[in-house]
Amino acid sequence: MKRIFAVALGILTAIGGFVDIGDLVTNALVGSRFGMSLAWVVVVGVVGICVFSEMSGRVAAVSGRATFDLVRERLGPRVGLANLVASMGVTFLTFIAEIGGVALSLEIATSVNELLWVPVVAALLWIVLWRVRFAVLENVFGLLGLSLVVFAVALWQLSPDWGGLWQQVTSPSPPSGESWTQYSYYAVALFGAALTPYEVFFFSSGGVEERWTAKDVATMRLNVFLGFPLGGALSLTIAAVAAVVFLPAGVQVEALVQVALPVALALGKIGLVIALIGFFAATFGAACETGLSVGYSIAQFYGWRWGKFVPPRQAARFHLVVLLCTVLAVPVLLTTVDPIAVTEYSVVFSALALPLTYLPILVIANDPDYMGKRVNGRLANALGTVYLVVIVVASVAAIPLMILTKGGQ
Amino acid sequence: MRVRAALAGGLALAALAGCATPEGNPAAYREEALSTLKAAHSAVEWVHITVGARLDDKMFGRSADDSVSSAEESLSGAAGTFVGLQPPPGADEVRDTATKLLSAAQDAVEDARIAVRRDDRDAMRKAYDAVGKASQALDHADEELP
Repeated sequence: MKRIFAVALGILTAIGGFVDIGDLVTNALVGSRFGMSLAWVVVVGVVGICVFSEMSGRVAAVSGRATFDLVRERLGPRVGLANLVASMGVTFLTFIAEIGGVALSLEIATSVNELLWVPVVAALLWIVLWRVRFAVLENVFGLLGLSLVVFAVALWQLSPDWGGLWQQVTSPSPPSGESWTQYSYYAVALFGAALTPYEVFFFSSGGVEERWTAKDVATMRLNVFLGFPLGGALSLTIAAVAAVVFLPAGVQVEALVQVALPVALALGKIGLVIALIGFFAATFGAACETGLSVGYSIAQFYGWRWGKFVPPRQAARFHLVVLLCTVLAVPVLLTTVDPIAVTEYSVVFSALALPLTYLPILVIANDPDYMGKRVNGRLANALGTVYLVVIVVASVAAIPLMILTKGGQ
Repeated sequence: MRVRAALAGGLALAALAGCATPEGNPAAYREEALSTLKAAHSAVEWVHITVGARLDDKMFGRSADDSVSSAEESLSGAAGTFVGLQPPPGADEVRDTATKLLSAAQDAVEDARIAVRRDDRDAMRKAYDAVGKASQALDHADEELP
């Protein structure tokens, strides 16, 4: 019974923890402009994150070591450093966007300007990262993130033309008024949002934090192969409600409060409150994950002691990096930069950095020195290789598309 | 020496020309106007949906205020950028029509924001109708622009 509860909890937190500010904003924006015609990208992205999370989780469970711990050792310091700089740049940008997202959620709930919330959120975040146990942090925000299921209920309540929505899903082309360049730009952005690099750093480091062994591989796979696709389905419902309410009205999503508007229309104030709880949990949980990911990666690369399973005094440099990131994010947001714009750029830059994150995972998962009998099978290698090609194409196309569309305008 | 001076002068002129605001052509200016009016329509319709939700008591006053204020900010940004553009010769009518539409939309949204912030139901109803009309006008901007 205890085992079933643990598996169920893992799946539920994987669903609730899947959506972050990038998924919220990008899915709503894409739904409002392109309807469901880009839903296929979410499906492709979710399969990709499942493939690589399973690999990185298996590496952590079998070797007892996290991704960056092995990247430097296996690929050498130069490639490792290039990997670290690119991945950390994107993860830090995502971290800033998540803190901005928490502040925006609080602004919607209180009408107090987000800039006043930013230092408060950063302080609260640091206390949580310093004091709260890893399992508590993961489970509480993951379960609260399940509030976003309210989007699925809202979609049903809006009584959409299901046939029309399905037609959009099966017509992967830009609607009238949108060009193929814009369509491709947002396809790359959605792909980047689904495969954000921090997700695998956090997943593999979390495996080490929770002391996974080879025996835990089956549970880990259940979490990945059930939790992530259901999280992806949640993302699709966010796009769908935006497609139902905003696309016919010609409204483009530009703010977080707009993402919640269809839920309010469908379910009223109660729905709005539940959506806001979901926003807070999703963004705060992801802020914890990205903040920890920056600390994990730098500490693992330099061989410092790291993790929340180690007393803070013994992992002082790891905690210092996390603290510095939190402190640095505050002035960036206080420049009045729009957190939504930061989010939009972070998902595109995420696509740019994807090959540097996922190639080493594929290499290490195939190395019998680390993995023994648990090296990749044929299916994992075939999928990993196909995805690596897709990732490289998305990465190469990201910046030219950003320039051509003036950032998706 | 004279050749060098002429070359330097030419380069300086080219650099200055690069810094000057290009006037563009009337067709490009019209496209710019249409794109601004499309962005304005999005913001105005956003306000229309929000005020409707508030009138139906589906949103809290604070959330509705935040939503309308964000839309107003977006509308001001789009209008401000367009107004700052130098119209090319022969595009004054386009400018006048677009500016009038934007100005009417800004007035309607401003009234909506005041009504929502005061939680004045009657004013909200009036603002809802005015915003709806502004939205319709912006939706037909392509036909109205010369």
